[in-house]
Amino acid sequence: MTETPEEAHKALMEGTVELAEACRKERRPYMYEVLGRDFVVMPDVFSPKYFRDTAFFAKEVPKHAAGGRNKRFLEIGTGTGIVLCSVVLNYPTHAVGTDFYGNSVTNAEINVLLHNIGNYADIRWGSVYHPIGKNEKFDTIFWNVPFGDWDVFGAPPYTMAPAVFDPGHKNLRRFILGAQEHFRNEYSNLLIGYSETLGNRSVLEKLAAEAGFKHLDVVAESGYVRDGNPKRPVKYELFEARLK
Amino acid sequence: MTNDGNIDAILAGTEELIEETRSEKKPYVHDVNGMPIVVLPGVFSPRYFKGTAFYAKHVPERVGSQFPFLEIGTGTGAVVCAVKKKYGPATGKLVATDINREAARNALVNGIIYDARGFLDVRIGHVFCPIRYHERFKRIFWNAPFFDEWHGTNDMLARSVFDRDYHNLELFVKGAATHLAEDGVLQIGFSSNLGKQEILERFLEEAGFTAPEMVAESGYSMEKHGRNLKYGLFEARLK
Repeated sequence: MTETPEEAHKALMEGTVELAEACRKERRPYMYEVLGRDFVVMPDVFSPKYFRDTAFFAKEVPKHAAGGRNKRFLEIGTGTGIVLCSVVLNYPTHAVGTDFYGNSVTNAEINVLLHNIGNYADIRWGSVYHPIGKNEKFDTIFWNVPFGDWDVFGAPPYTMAPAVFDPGHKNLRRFILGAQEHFRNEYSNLLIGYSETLGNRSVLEKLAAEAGFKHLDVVAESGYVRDGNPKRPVKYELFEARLK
Repeated sequence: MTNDGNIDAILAGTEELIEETRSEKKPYVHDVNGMPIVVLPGVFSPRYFKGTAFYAKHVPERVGSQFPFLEIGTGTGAVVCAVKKKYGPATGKLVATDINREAARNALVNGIIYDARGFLDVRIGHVFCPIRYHERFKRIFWNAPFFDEWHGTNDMLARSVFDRDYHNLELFVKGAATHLAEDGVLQIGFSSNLGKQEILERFLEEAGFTAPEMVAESGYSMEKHGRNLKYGLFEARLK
């Protein structure tokens, strides 16, 4: 019997819940290595041990973020802070990370301290752009968005749900539509960590067009990651949206 | 010296422990009395030196809600974090110092994990150097190096264990006489069988302290080559 696309999608979403549940079982801080660097992972924080996209974005985002002493980088939903640390360790860029979840803010601060980049990084608590001042401008804005395209699923029993699911694409909408207000100039770029396997590209395209972006391109793509999801291999993409 | 065993074997074992600590090139998490503690490379490690777990258990009990609390040579910050964990939001001001820059960073990392920000001030420097002249503490603690000989290379790890002629212990006791509040208690982590207690007593006497009283003692430590080692927690007050 052939599986319908809906059934395949449901299986992937259930796989994501499974990963989040496994992640939630970690009740103590632990060390985890990403791209040869060691990071602390706190309980209840989106963990690179279970979600393989962190390593992919930690490798790709620094290549596509505007780096340098006078550049400013913003990461939304920073989690453990691994991507942000990778950007700063690649180029000494002033970086700001935000996260809605208090444990993630603590976790990112720990990793900033662990990698001695406190002079470059600033971690703030709040949803999407809330902790960002109206006049703060950035050269690159990135978010490994919750691309789980599943509006309704059995009661999300954990704090990690907002990191993987975004019912109605509400936060994705705020992220894309609010980006321009924080762009330093028309050459700033918006990087979107996404997975077409789990999400829906047309949603991104629609929101990018609505926000006035002229270009939306895939600038990096992982192969199929076998353990990206317990149900099916998953592919991750890094999208770049530009005004010019 | 009250020596329950062959001192040469114990010194050799200690050097070996320092060497093993030095061989750790990556940060790791070690469990200290049920508390996960991040340990950075080059920092005095509770994985190898069991005294940390003993003091992390007994020092918080003896603090008795008396703050500010100062820890000299905090290392990973496990003891100061245990104090924070025990007293929670009722914790008062905590200050921790270490001469090792990596240790100071390590203590800050653990301080964040144990929600000690806003309570904990970590400073870099030798014994009381980072403490301002007017600062007074109700409790001052140091897990002091109790070997008065010098072995191994002159690095931060060796300084955590060896203290030639007890020079740093003397500085600690004299400095404590200045920085301890009138009704404060000086807490000294010292080996109850391998440390030269008569010298500690002399330093305390000269600095105007009462004779040290041992308030807690470990069983024989199960450290590698350290089966003849006992840890003690000594307390003294200003006369």
